[in-house]
Amino acid sequence: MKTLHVKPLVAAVGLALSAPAAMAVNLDFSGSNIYMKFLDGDQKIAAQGSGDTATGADQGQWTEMELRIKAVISPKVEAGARIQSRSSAAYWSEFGGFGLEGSVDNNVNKQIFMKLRGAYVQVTPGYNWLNMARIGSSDWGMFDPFTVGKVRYIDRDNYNGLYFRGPVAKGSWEVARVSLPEYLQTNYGQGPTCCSTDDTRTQEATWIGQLTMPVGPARLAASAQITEDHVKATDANLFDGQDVNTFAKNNVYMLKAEGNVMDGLELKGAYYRSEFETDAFFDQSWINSPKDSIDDNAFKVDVAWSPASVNGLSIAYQYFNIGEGFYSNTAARTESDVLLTEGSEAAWYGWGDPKWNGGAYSDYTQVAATPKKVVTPAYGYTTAMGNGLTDNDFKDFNEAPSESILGWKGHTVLVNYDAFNVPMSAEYSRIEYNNNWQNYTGPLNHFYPANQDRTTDIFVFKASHNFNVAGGLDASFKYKWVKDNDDVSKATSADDAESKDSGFSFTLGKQLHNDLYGSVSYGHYSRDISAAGVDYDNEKDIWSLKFNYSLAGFETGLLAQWIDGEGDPLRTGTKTDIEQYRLKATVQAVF
Amino acid sequence: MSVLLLLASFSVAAEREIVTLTDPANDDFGGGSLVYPERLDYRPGDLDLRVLKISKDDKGFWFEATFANPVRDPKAAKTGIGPEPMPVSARRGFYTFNIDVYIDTDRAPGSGNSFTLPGRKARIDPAYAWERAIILTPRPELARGELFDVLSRQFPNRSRYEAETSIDNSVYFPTEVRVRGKSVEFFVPAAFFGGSDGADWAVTTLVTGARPYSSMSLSFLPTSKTPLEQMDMGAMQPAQGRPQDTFGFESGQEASPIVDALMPSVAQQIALIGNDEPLIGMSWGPHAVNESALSRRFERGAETVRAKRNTTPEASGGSLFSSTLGGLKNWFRSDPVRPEADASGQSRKPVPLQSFLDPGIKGNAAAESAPIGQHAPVPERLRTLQQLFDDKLIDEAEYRMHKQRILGDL
Repeated sequence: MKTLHVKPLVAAVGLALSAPAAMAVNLDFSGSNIYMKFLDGDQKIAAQGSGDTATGADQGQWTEMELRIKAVISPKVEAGARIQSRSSAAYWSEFGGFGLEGSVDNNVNKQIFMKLRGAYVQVTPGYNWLNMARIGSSDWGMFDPFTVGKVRYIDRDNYNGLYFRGPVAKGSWEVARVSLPEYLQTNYGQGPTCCSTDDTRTQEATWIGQLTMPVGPARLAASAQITEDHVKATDANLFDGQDVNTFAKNNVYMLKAEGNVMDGLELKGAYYRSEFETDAFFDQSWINSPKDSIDDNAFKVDVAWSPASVNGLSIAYQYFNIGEGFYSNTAARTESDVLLTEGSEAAWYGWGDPKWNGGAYSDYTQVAATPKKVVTPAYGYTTAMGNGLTDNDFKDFNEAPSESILGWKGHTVLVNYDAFNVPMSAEYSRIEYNNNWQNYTGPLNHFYPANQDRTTDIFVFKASHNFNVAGGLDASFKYKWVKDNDDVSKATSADDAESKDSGFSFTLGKQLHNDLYGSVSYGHYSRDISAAGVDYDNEKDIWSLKFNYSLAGFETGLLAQWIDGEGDPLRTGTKTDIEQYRLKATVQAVF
Repeated sequence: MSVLLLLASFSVAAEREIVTLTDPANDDFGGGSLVYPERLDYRPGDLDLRVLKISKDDKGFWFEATFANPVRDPKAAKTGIGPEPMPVSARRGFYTFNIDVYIDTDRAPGSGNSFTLPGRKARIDPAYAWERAIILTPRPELARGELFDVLSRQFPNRSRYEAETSIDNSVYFPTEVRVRGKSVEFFVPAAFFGGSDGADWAVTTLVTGARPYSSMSLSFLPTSKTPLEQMDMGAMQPAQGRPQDTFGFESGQEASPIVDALMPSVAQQIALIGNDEPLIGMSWGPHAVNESALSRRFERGAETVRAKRNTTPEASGGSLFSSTLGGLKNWFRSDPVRPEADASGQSRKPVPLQSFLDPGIKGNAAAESAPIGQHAPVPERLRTLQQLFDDKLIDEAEYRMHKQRILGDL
């Protein structure tokens, strides 16, 4: 029998000739930008590492450059990368750590390194079971914020993983493996005991599968995720591979439904369950996960009604009950808002810390990540300790702070009504807490105080109107009242505490020029605290001046605030003057 | 006096509803292949336009657009440039969409504009040619400024004043906007319509995704496109695949950036947007056209073709359905608006706005304009038109009208 032998060279030539011709690659740099920031303030704090209010800076000028590259290699393949310099501490005056590039003290933030923030390859093969596969970095904004939440600004694109999505019936399925950074792993990737090393930390991941499906007039979604933390086991025989033990496991399940019950009436429901299981016990106050095994649930019900008979009226109601032990290591840590309520008064954010005399300019957002424990009274009522995953790091005073809603249960009613060309809204929320307990020593004692008997009432009224005078004036008014009552230990009334926040603000804005918008705001805020039988009254006025100048591809914004008041932020018993000037200006050029 | 002015601004004139137009549900896929960006704040239904209501009071017109889903609140959103929050740049309560309403206010044949604004990449059927355009966008001042900047680059020898006057007479970017649940209302002063009361109009309404930041529309690589052609005017331009920051498409053919258009049927939307045909609007009043009946022809056309496909072997190189659609495409081929002759046979002067924005006008677009679509020879178009008449997809009046148009191109 003849045997055919194809000489290797001929085979190689044949393969080369049969290979598809090189495809033209489309390169897209859209969104690449230069971002500049200027901070000024009367605290005179120099930047330490990162230049932002939360890190402690109110002075300096920074530049970041971001290069976004997207290559459409073929109709089915796309690849991309993001290269960005980190905002250095006071780059304009420190020249990128001039002469100190090798010094650890002058860390990488000062040396303006361009960093590969993320790279990915995305395939859309067009199979009838697979729409898309994405390998590499993403901001992971595809899932519910209670489960795998969108990654915060400072880490956007840093998380890598595998993501697959395809059709099923009239809906879709999604499966992902998210490679976990160490700070999201149980005990920060150190294994079951403090402060050791764990080689498996480079391979820990969260797996999630999600199904979405329209069913009649409703839309259903369900997901299940699992995170297993491993550690090397004692293994006498490495010739058959290294054994590992699972020392912690975090499972999270979600079921959601929403739909139109009838014209003008919408209903939404969401149920979440988390299971955290560990055979270790972490007795460090600073860990980001529960100290021991715990399971819990969370659910929300939303009703939205717009009666056709009353033009301009809509009413929304939300019931929420979030278990204090609900835990998802990958829940959104910031930049997401999971409840209807406005939450706490942002004008008192950071009260007790002089750089936050004016609080935060933007309203709170509520997140489902573990809380940072609040302690009193060293820096005041709202200073946090502990390493809960709710993230307010690397933020400036104009950004929205986040607060954890774990343990919250209650009701919110929000009424919107438009009359006489004045859109108005009124919110009332009543919040109670699943962590209202006494002498608690359980696995969540680093997130919550040992004694709590707390309730919170929130009322917000807003109105706005555009006046057709002087070329058009945008006016808005807001009044907010928050009463927080905590009897703390029921064994004594000596530690009973109450805080009443009330404040209002007026804002007038105008398009001063085709390219320039300006606004001025005045707000008056009071916070009356009663703790252990002693009253601490605080009051402040905040004037804000804001400008936004835009041309095609170029924007600059400026926010300046002057705070003036008096109070007793450290609860010394003596009132002191409270004054602050702070300013943030930004420049963006997008090309 | 100032108090009186303030009180006057609160007064509410009774709104009189002019028309309520409805659009089919679940048709927010453009020409059929468009998919939403891969991000949580863009979900199917967000840009699914369901109702457009137009009302009038003594000050002007209120347009109310209602979507399938509640309008996304910019509160927790970010622009993606630095850490800056979205509300700084999207202060009118919405950020995910643009709505274009092109209004034929005079219903006069041969009058008006057939082009759409940059970034929309569509043309409007001459029977619905518009005199006034309302462009609702999250950043109206910026959109208007961007348009003038690009025009100054495109036409360096023409004054900004000339461009401003021409555009401000015809294009309005609403600044008085109210968002309530699933609806967004926007106000247009009566003066913009020059006394027209809205009783006899036609509207062609488009929805596009809104780009979250303003960019310079630069290209790092050499391009033959003019500044106007590069400009997207805040409209997300689809990209192949499933991108995160814009709409995607998976078919081989480039997709239109139009996510939804106000039309009586889904089949009509797919046929017109998917094949880059001039868009047909919706009308009311004395010159109203029965767009629903016209729309049924698109559905019937699809059914007729499907029936034929079941009994007739497919021709090689493509199905009868695709070749019929191709014929429809040629039949509705985009032509530059040409000055019509008036009764004396003399050509009218071109509408000034066209001279700036119409890509069919020489100098407004690169040599190969109309990036989507092709130009078939006249004989082929006549054969296709005859086929449609023989298949009873058009009636005799429509056959004669379009034959005259095609012959006019000779």
